[in-house]
Amino acid sequence: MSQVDLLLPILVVDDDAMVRDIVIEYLNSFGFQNVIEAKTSVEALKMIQSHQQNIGLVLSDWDMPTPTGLDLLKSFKSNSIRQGAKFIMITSQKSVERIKIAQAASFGVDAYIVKPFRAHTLKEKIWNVMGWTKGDDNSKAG
Amino acid sequence: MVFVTANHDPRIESINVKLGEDSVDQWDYLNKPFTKSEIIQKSRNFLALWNLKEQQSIKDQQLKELNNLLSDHERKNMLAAISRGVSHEFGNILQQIIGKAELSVNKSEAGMKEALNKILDASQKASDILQRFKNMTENHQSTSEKELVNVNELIKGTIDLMEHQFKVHQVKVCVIKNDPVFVNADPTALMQVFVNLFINASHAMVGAGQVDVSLINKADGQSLIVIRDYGPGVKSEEIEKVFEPLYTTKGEKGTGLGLPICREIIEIEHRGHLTLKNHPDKGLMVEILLPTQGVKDVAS
Repeated sequence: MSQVDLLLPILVVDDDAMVRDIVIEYLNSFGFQNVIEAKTSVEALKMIQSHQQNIGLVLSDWDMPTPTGLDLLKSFKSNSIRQGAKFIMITSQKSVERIKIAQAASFGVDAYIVKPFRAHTLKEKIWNVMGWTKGDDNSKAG
Repeated sequence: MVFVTANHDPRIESINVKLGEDSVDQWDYLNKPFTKSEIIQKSRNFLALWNLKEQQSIKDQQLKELNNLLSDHERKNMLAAISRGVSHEFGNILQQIIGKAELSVNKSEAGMKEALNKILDASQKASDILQRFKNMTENHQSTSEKELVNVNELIKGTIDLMEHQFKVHQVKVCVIKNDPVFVNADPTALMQVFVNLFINASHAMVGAGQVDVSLINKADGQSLIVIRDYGPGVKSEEIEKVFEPLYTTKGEKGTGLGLPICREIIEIEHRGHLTLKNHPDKGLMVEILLPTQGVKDVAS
């Protein structure tokens, strides 16, 4: 278990502006200070492939026009500059997307989260994949 | 039955007249004198024919059952596609509601008020989607109940319901002509036709594309609905084949039942016409003609 890093660069990808804003607001409420956003998956792919862009964690919607969330995951996990960085997939349904989840697992997704979710669920997933000890942070919500 | 006859006079025609045309395959005749092997031969022929017919009728029955099963499957497929879209939208909407509520708890009064308004908007949207979804699934497969239908609203509702599919397939939908169109129809069945045609149009285009919808009130008392995509169209030799059950141009994606069902709904259930035409420039046009209903009474 390592120390909570509130300067962790987190990339939020969702083409639904309202949902994206809420995820970002959640992250801010946890105390994260380095949240970046991609409005489309095309934009996200460019960021993922850019050597200039520092990313420690991606929170990405699944269901987007190509490149889909799975395409982003593949690109992210196969890129040597992203070694050690984490990827959490956000899906809208669990039961129907079992195959998708299995696919995501095979491409090394670190966690997935089902919409709609509450702040504490999101927080727990992030803390889990980052290997942070619970309760040693100073966030305002969660 | 095999008649045994001594002379050549009662010819086939006269026996036919006596027994009727329907039983033509149920009798044969033997001229006296005949040999044992002739009787055996005739009997064998008859038995073989009879078996063949029996097998054929069993096969026909099986095919019919299979067809029913498949068209049921096709309807379910369509419903499943819509359900996935609706489920995705509901996930997003609920996320907005939960997120806004949770994040505004500690906010100022103004902040909470703003959040409440967003929550109300999101709830309204959810309720609209649910209503459209119910409209589509209710009375599903029951005997078609016809009512006065505003096709403009029905098309708009279908497009809204399929928003997610269009987004995923990167399809832009343009209503390029929107005459008020009223028809006497089963709205659920009609919506199924539109959903099917929209799915076909989306599948026809690789990458981003566009679908044009035109609603035209023709002077001859007919309403014309045209759905056009910008895909490769259908080869002229295939244009009627695509209406044959189980024929598909979409490989594993298609069941070959979408268009036959659409045509059945339009032509048999609604006495209209459904035809395919390749657009002179690009893409496929599906034209639906339906008898216009009481426009003057309602459009005012």
